[in-house]
Amino acid sequence: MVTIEVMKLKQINYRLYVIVVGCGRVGLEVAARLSYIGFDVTIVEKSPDALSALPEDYGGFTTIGDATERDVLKRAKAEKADLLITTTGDDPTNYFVSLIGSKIFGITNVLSLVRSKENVALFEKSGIRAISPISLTIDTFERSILEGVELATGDGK
Amino acid sequence: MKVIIIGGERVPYFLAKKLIASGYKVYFVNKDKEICEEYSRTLNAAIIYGDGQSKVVLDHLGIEPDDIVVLLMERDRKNFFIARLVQEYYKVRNVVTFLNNSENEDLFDRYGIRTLKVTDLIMQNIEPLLFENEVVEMIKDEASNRGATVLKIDVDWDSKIADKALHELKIPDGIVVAGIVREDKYLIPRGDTIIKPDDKLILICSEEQSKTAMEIFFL
Repeated sequence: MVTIEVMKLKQINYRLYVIVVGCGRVGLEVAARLSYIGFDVTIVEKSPDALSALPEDYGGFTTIGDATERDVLKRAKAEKADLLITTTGDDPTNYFVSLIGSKIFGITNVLSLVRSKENVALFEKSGIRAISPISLTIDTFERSILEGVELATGDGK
Repeated sequence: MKVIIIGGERVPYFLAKKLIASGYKVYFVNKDKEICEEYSRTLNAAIIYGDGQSKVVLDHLGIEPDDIVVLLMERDRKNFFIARLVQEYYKVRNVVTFLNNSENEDLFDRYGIRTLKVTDLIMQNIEPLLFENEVVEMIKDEASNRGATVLKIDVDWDSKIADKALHELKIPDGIVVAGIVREDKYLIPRGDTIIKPDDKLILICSEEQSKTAMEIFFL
């Protein structure tokens, strides 16, 4: 799905610039994947040690620093970003950085990892697309279970 | 109307005391158990032990739009998050927060969150002091090992030079009053400048004259 969009963008010779905040398990994979499929990526992380976990063939940039501080986002060229993805383990931090990105740096697309399900609504209300691992997991379970039920009842007929 | 104070250690205590004395209903939320236990004994307020960043905890407070929410958490991002929660879910109109990093003011302003810029307040207070020290250090750098010395003199209210004009002191050659720090201003003195208690005088003199200088200004 994403790759089709990327192919289209490649045809018009446009490279999306993405900033990924947080180099934890999620941020790391997201940054590596986006860089692999051809996006310009900068990953912002305050701990240099965490950055060493990036794969060797990661072709993007890194910015060391706390993304809640303006000069760090400036160094990451936030004003040029097409997409901001916040992936730290702390919802208030993700929310704060997301809104600095959208309201102050004018980034139109902001995606955020939301750890606690109860916080999803606040993110969505503020124009941030929220990704809640727990909700995704529950939805997936639900779908698999319903499919299983359908199969079972189908067989029973 | 009630006042809800979230976070903080000592500030909420004195704040709550004043508010209670003026007849306001005060709620205090903190995730530090010891503080909560202490305040539940000493303050006539509703003490809620829990994380103010959690909507579940906030839901217990019965917050209403005309309540005042005061945020004293140690991080701007935490205060911002709670401010937005109470605005969105309980339509609170008045939110006041500590602001550590003043560059974040624009974001808080955007959402109509009032800020107390702690860092700026402290800076405003120490800036004159820093300036005074900078001046002394700068002159010292230039003067040291070149036969001159810099003295700083605090003028007390009972000092013999207080309320006198500089020319009355009959300062000999080789001693210069380079500046007077008065409150937050640095004055360039003239002969008719009157020295006042609480002034700080900055003197430059030759090393031989430093003893004479002490005698004039101190004894």
